[in-house]
Amino acid sequence: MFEQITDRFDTIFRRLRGLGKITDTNIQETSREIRRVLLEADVNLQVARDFITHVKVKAEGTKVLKSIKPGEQFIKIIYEELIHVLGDETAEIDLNGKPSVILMAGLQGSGKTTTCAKLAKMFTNQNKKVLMVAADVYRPAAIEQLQSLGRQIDVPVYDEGLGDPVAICVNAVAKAKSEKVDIVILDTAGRLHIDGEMMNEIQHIWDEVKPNEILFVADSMTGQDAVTSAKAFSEALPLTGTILTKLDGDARGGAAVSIRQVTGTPIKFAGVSEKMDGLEPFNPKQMADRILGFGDVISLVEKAELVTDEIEVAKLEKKLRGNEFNLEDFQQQLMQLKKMGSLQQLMGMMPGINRKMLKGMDMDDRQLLWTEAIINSMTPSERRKPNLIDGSRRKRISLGSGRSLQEVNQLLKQFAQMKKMMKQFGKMKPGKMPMGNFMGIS
Amino acid sequence: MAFIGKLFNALRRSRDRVSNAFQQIVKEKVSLQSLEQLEETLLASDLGLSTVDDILDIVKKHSKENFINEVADYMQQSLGHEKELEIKSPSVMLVVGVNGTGKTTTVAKLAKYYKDQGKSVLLVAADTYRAAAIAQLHQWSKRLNVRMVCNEKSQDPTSVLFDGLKSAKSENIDLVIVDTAGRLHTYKNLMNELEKMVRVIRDRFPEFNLCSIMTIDANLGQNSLHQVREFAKSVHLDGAVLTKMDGTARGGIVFALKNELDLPVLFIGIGEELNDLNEFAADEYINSLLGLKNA
Ligand SMILES: Nc1nc2c(ncn2[C@@H]2O[C@H](COP(=O)(O)OP(=O)(O)OP(=O)(O)O)[C@@H](O)[C@H]2O)c(=O)[nH]1
Ligand SMILES: Nc1nc2c(ncn2[C@@H]2O[C@H](COP(=O)(O)OP(=O)(O)O)[C@@H](O)[C@H]2O)c(=O)[nH]1
Ligand SMILES: [Mg+2]
Ligand SMILES: [Mg+2]
Repeated sequence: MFEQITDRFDTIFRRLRGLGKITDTNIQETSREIRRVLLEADVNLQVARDFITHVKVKAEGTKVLKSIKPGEQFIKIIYEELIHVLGDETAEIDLNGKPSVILMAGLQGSGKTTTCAKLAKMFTNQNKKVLMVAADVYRPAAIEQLQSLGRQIDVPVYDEGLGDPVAICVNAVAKAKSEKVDIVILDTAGRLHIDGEMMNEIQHIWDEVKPNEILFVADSMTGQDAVTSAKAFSEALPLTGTILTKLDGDARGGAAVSIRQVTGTPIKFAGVSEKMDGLEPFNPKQMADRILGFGDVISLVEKAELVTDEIEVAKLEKKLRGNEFNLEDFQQQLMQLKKMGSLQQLMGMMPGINRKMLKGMDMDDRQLLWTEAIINSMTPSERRKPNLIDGSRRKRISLGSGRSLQEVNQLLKQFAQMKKMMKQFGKMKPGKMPMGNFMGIS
Repeated sequence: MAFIGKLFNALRRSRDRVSNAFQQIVKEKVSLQSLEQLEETLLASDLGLSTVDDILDIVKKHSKENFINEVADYMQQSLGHEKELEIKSPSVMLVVGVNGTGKTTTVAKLAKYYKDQGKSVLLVAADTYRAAAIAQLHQWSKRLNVRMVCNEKSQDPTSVLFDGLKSAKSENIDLVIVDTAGRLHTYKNLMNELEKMVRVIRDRFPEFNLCSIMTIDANLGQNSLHQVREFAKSVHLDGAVLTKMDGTARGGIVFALKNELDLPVLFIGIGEELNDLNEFAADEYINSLLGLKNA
């Protein structure tokens, strides 16, 4: 299923990359395709529609811009819009209360109790004094569950047995205040957003203790109905954020987008394991990759931009023009290539090559390493002036790099050919250097 | 019937939306726009793209006729006719599923269901991972007045299962229901653990009929399909229980489950109490979903 989605997006991208300019027709076509991908990832349809409208507007702007690579730009628009929708910057948690009170809320089985304990552990590690409060008096053994977790992480649990949840919370906060506890975490029962009585109860808790944080705990596997429940919870309570659980599964997690949109509050943490240390700050970028199902492709576009230092590029161009390009420069290029990821990944982002073709192909990243080893075994002066490298030097380089003499000869020959070609295409862009044969993919 | 009332209510929102979308098509004729609206409405019930595509094709093909009946027929065919699980004595029922989908609660509800049919039931607390999982099942066992086998000290679900089956054998129990830990199929070791449990039943207790039930949370989306596909690689699944149908989620994933993976829904969970379990009736479900009257 996921393969299919990724392949489909690949097709869209390949089509886009090939485009000279973005036209209305292909915006239309692509928008429809994106819509399907989002829906398949469980993004709510209304939310998906809004998203696409934004992307369209921005893409139409691109058309006017007549940029050089409109396809790439369109990809970036989609990606950046999604990150934006998921919340650009990492959200902080409010710990300014004395004590700070955190109220957990959510549907049944979403992960509230486990997350309470994970948060408590995180705060304990920050040398905070924490108290957990067992305010789920409905689910069988809910109190025992929290107590057991409390023992595991060595954090005290306040409970009054099967009392009134509102009173339990009020009393716990009072106790925490007198005992100079820094943070109180209230574990509440799971409830359906259409259960009036239970929604009333949690509103009462909120009203009585006025927590600093009211966190909606949601399962990352949630489907289309995420909007309905998240909306109801955010209407009943002034939510301050969401925690998305069970991201260690393979759900694409489109519900995150829906929840973010309808609650209008940031997603603060992600649950990534059943264990107590399985809580991470939420990362919008990672989530966007995951929802679109083309993580590596996008990050490569990004990475390419990141590692290509403008000044370096200018220097290189000058050298190329003056035909001064030597093995030292080549060494640097190889290092940059390596920073961008594996050859397999790199090939994957090239137009005209699809994932299926790559699947059967066994590309050898080692070839790149070998080439590098050979160059590393040269002295700086040899790298700058490859003409210096005579027979005995070749033998030394071969020994030093652990590669055969034949391989050393071949590299030098290819480099000479490359220089000759560069002379002919004096104005060639650095990105398009004929380096393929050095990487075992000629 | 109280049940129909409850389900009908639960699906009201969806029913209104879906039937509105169909009516829109009747009014405006089948157009790109009205089809898109229908598509989106169906998707909102978690039916998934491929099922929705099938339905849209039917609507297009029968645009001049009474396509709503055609769609209902298609849905009925997808779901097939209700299958009743035949519980021969002795049987062992493994209840498996992803974390928090409702396994333990469903174990208790199923125990009630079969006990009411006059069967002798034994519970096995084989979730050795989750905090207080045994205590949770134990409370149900007290309420049900059904015995539970557990081992507080064991971390090995297979050994607890072993004890349970041994005990059931000596007591001539009709049905052993096993509560297991929630797991995500992305953890290979946890899936292996399930396989090991199946092996112990097959090899050491061949006289027991094994039947495995997976709980599926109606609130979850398309990932459920993937979960079932992966779980089915470790255990043969006989059926599913669609839980939390008392919320506003519609659980439309059931069509793809049956169509693509041949997993029938046997029961639906409609609440947190012992009686909140109902046999799944495909026609009622479809009619509620489409806003048709129940015959
Ligand atoms: N793999 C994984 N499991 C999780 C995560 N968070 C919670 N769980 C599991 O999900 C199940 C439900 O978690 P709970 O913390 O009991 O959920 P809850 O919201 O308190 O449930 P109720 O109180 O019954 O409404 C348990 O089996 C947890 O171990 C997570 O991030 N990853
Ligand atoms: N509303 C509702 N809640 C349910 C249903 N089934 C289970 N639950 C609740 O969902 C939560 C998780 O259930 P549990 O049986 O502990 O799930 P497990 O982790 O899979 O064993 C509990 O709070 C249950 O009360 C249902 O059909 N409807
Ligand atoms: Mg809980
Ligand atoms: Mg359980």
